Amino acid sequence: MKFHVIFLTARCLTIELLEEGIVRTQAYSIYLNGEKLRVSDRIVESIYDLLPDTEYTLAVGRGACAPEPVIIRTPKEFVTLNVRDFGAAGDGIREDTAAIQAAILCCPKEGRVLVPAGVYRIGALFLRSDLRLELAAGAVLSAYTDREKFPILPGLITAWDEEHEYNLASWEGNPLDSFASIITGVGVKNVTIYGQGTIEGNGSYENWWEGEGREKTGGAFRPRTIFLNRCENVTVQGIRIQNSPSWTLHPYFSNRTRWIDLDLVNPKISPNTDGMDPESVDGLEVVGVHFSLGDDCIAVKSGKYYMGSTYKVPSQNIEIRQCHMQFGHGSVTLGSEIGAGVRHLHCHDCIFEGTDRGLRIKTRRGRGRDSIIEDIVFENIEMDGVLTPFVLNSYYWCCDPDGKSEYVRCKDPLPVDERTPEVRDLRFRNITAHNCHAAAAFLYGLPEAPVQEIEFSNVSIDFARHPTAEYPAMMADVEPCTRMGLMIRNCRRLILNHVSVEGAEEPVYDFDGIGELIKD
Amino acid sequence: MAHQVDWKQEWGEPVQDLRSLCIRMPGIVRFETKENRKEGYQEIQAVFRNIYDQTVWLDPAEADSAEELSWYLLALSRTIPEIDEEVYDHRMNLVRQYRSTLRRVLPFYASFSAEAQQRVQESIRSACREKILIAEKYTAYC
Repeated sequence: MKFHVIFLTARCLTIELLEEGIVRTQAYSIYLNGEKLRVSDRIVESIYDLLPDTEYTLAVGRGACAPEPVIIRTPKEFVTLNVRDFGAAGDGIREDTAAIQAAILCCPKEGRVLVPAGVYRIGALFLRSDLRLELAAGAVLSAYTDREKFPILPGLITAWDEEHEYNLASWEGNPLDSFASIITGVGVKNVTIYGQGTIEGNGSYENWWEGEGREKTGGAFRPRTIFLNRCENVTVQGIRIQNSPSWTLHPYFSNRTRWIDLDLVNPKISPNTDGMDPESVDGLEVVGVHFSLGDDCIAVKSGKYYMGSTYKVPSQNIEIRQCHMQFGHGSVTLGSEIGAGVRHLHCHDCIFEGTDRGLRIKTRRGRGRDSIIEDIVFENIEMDGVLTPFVLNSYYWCCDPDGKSEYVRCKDPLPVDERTPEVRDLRFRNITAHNCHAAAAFLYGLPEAPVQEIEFSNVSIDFARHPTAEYPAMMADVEPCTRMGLMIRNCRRLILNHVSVEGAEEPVYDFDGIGELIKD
Repeated sequence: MAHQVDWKQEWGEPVQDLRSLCIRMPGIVRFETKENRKEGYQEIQAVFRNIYDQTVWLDPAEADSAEELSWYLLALSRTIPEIDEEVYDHRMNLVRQYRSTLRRVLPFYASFSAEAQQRVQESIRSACREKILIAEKYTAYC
């Protein structure tokens, strides 16, 4: 069996099996220094309780096949700062914010902040550069839900010259005041958060999720669980995050971040509890993450019009693989706040299960000419029970004050101007989608700016025996439906190569505004 | 129903009465924000942009122009807080117009009439409250 080590610290590592399937495989054994450690069936698997600066022989094998070992050496570690030595109680009663924050601020390069087993009540913690933060097995960072426990991060602070600005916080694509997140990083580099512990957001309908005014109460918008603003080289591995106050992970203008073997769990009915919202990021890797959520699993963004047109930082160079996405509205969503565009996104070898949509692109007039979506590739994806596997909605009406205006909803061509977004190429390859409900595909481009190219290759879609009528997209003049086939509007070039749709009602292929159709 | 003003017609070219703009526009924007789903925001932007393009021809050294510019600054400073912050680009467009106009006006402030000076002062106080100006730079005007 082939594997490679994708993550290594002084205390743990993560491996990824190669050519073994998607998310899970047949049971195999993991051997450490020649001894059988355990049996697993996961493609992405982590091993803990390693020692620093130590050589290990690692192998994986199945049946009679002699495993081929790999020799690895863990990095050095200078010191361990145990938060209990800094006064943390970990009793689930007393507040431990200051003690843990002190340990973080005192941690030297190559040092480790250890949060051992126990329940630690915290408000907001701030990261520092060159930090290794370990949440050990049984450790729970249990966040308060009182707003006064969280400082406010101003959205924009005017510079002395009154021309520049310092952008510290964000809410749904605008630079608005927000509460600091449970874990907040601002301008930090080389940080690793890892372990088998849990971050418990304690979000519920009695606090963060409650009522109409839940988004902004107490002078600021809801915190996220992890917010990284303009950070570099940050890895989060192993931990479980649950009941997030709002979005779970929010890397923002941050580069080279990695998210490995995480378990992100929010109730299906929780509001705006996306799994991950990378916004204006460059270099993002999501591997072996399990999502079970109330909103989008991954929603890639780049700001609304102001942030997109002012900073012009797209989200780009994103790889998502070996992830299991359950429930929620979209498995992988682009938008709706994509003012600076999204490009070079490759999602492969993933399972989408029971989500409303598989790929979901949400855009609208007004996002601006910098809002370009290009080089989006989905391949080797297995979907089951997804309402509509492929959705491009260029008339997304939600979450903007003017979302239902005539300007956004108009299906007639409008003049192309500085507010017109663009979708260039979408490619779907080697994808099966079983037990769909609403539509096989609902891809609706703008008439004045048609999608340049859409490719479906080796795509097989079928419907549930008793499909539920649902909206294929959140846009004006769309009604709930079942068994709709491939509905595609406004595309310059459409490639259909080995595409099958079973159980759809006629017309299975419902195209309009297609410049060139290439069909096998 | 104060919001039934046909401001598009009234505030089309040329700019005739910035005092009236100052009095009416904050209320119109408040109505748009709270009652009309912001559908008129684009046109409100166009009105301010149109006025801004014309104010660049005004010479703050001239008394009449100073009067116009002071009303315009006051109109902006009273309108900005009424814009929904979630339509952030619209807010920032007006902020840019305000800052740019204020920079042109301040060197001539001493020659303004007492009434015009009061309008500029009120606008600065409001802008400082909104944190679009750095308050400690404007203590002489507050």
